[in-house]
Amino acid sequence: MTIVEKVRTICPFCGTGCGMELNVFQGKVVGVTPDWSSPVSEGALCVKGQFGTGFIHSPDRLTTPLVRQNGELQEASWEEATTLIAEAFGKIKERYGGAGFALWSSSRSTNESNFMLEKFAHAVLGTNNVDNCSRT
Amino acid sequence: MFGRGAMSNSQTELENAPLIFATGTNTTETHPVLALRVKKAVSKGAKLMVADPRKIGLTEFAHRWLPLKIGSDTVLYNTMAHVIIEEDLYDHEFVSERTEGLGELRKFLKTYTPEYGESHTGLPREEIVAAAREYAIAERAAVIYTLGVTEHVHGVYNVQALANLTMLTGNLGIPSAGLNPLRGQNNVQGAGDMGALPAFLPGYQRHGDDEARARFEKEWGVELDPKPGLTKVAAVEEMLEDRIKGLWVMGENTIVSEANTNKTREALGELDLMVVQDLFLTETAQVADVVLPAAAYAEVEGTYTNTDRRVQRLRKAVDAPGVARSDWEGILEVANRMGYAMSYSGPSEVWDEAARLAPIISGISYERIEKEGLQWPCPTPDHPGTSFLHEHTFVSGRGRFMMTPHVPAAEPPDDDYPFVLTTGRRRPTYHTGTMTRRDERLNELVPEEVLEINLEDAVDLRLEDGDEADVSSRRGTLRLPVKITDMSPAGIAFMSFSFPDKAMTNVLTTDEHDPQSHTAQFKATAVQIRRVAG
Amino acid sequence: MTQQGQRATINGREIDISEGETILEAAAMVGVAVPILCHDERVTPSATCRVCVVKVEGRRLPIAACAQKIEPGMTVVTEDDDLSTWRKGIIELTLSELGGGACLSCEMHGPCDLHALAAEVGAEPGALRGATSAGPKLDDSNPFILRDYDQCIFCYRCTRVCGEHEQAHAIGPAGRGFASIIATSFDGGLMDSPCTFCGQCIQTCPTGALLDRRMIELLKDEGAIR
Ligand code: SF4
Ligand code: SF4
Ligand code: SF4
Repeated sequence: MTIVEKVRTICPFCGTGCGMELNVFQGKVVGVTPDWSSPVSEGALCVKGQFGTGFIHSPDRLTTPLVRQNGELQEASWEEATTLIAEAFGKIKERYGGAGFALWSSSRSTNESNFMLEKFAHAVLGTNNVDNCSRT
Repeated sequence: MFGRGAMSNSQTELENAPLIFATGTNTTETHPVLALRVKKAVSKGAKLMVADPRKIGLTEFAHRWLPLKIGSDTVLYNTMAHVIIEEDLYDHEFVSERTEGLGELRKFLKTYTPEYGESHTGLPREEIVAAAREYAIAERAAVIYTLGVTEHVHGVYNVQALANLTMLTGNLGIPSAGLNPLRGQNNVQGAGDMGALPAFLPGYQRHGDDEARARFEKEWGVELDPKPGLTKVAAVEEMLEDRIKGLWVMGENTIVSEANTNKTREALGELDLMVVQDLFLTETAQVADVVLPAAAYAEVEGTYTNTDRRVQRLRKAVDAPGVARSDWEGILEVANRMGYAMSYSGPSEVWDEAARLAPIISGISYERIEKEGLQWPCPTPDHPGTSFLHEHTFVSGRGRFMMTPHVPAAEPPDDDYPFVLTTGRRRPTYHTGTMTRRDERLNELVPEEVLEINLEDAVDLRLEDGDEADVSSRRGTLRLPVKITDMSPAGIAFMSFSFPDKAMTNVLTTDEHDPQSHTAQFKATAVQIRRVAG
Repeated sequence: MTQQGQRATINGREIDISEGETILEAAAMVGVAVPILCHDERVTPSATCRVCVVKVEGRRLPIAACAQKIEPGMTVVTEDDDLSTWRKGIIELTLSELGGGACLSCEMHGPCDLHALAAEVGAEPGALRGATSAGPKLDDSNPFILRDYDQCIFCYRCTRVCGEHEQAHAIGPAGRGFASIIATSFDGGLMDSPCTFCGQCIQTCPTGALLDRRMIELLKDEGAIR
């Protein structure tokens, strides 16, 4: 009897890109089984992929935007946070142009998020200063 | 050079390579499952040659280990190329049909004799000669490397010198061979593919390429700057000069991961607005002005591209906590507020736009990768994907031999800082530890940062296992326990950088970097080690 | 490589065969699934469970398909009444060693190969009653892997995967017969062994003998399992 739901996905812990199934019970990831059909890993995983899911439901996860007020990061809504960014970036763009920005993307985030950051940099902020953490 | 920042071949092919030359890669720790292919190849009779100053896990499987002096990599590769040319072991047909510049290379390499090689690498000359011969006469040979090759001030020369070796021996354009940088983080390949590199638009198209730029301008409805952008290293300088005022950091713990922490911190302090998207309040998020909560891999739909250029589907298993969102959705909202209207039905539509603009991935769609990923280049919907590159030609036409002089490390050890600290990974921890440090069980395996040193050094320093030591460089000091190991040779200490709560390793490292790639010299920092009295 | 004229017959059908291929592999190539229990295609076959036996023309006794290389001209039958009875008997015997098949009611998290196979061949739990091979439970305090000897069928998939695939050589068989157990090389805990905690032993185990400790704890906390 299978009591967990299995969702086929990719391990987030290194460039090997092993296939895995997240085992989900009542909305929580409880474990991992390998994706035997993955041509990359053919059923193998390493300690991080197999056992490293603890962080997903960590109580330390950020659950809401934070905005710095009087020197402290305070909880805010998406609307407040994004409005603040839009205004501040607007001012920087007016004064410095695209050269006033840098965007550092993540080698851990998805292709789609990386593409969006690239588009945002070029099309909205007018800068080509986009880099990622490939050199670390 | 001949190609792109990607593996020329595939990890699955490694298993059938008659010879694997692993250099500057601690594969069993950094890519454990990929390392299974290397082990499998050895079980099937392959020769494994390992060049690494430390006695890393792979050496157990190697038939030849070349424990070269740290930072002498270019000399080793050049000497091997010298031997291959002088002993006429190179692939004449490949060299004449597909490369250019052999005459110049031969002249340039004249001085890289085995004697010269020995004096710089510390390896017996016979070993270097034997390694060169073995590599040259192997029917096919695959080079694999990671940051041990690139994280030096001469990182680019290292890569080019390895490229010379692969071209000389015709080890390109065939399966189970090639030049293979094993990409470290899960989507470092994809981030580059998507244009998150200052020199490129998505799909490795240059900003200066008029035809490509025009395609983007049309799709995005804006004019683009034909000049390349700034790397992180260059951007940090601009911040210190007050010329960059706004920074967006997507899921990156810059303060911990970049060399010379204190300088990075100072630069970030100069900004008008710094935005960080992350899962946790990382060391970097703590200094931001706005922090946006991000959804984790288990909570999003999307794709990652692994080290062998394989685009694979990521699927949502659970809901993100609170109001956390995927990175792209957060960016989208800000773009819209800034007056650039965009909307997408979901990540697959975002992918389709990228695929339209970047020919190397144009043939890939979510539908096609539902069952199994596809490897780029995959230009059309009926293209099967590409397991190994450069089959008939290089993207750049002929492969060009490059002159790769030996550049000594910045900041060599001296009387004040007599040890070399090299940094790297340990299997159970990942990068800055943001994720892995929050897993109780992984923490049990590697509970804290330790300074790994050789027994000989420990005796000299009167240090025992677990004793506290102060390790200092010209930029800072850290106090941490030592671990005596036979993995590091005398004179070389090792640390990871996955424990920012206990030891910010990059407080020590220098931001001296390769002038071409802007990759810092993480692999060699001169340090002093002292026993803590008491 | 398929060689010219290299053919054999499986279940009445002529097929191309390749050098070095086992009967199991050749059958799989043409879509014939032979049931397996102790086999993991990534490692050397051990042919201990004998669930994969097939009939080969000219041979008196059935042969384990996982270990036998297919030969040109061979005629193989993978399915008939004799083989079904034989397989059913083997599964029932295996179950009897697990305490009369009590494990069939275990609520493991995932698919249990043994469980699935028992259903496939129509094995009756408790059809045979015999001595159980349950050894003492290994007190291994590692946080990752839970080992329950009561569910172990001593197929040695775990030890072979650990040695040949992961090449960690952390675990191996110790002792013989009913007293046999799976132990670390020096009999210490896994934490003090060369174990890399890759978890591949858990994943290859065809029963519930190896489990992810935290997953079981989480599911118990949620009341999902007892
Ligand atoms: S399971 Fe291990 S080897 Fe595979 S992708 Fe994850 S971290 Fe890399
Ligand atoms: S988890 Fe340990 S015992 Fe199990 S296969 Fe991996 S290395 Fe071997
Ligand atoms: S623990 Fe599982 S894999 Fe190992 S011998 Fe027992 S039943 Fe087989």
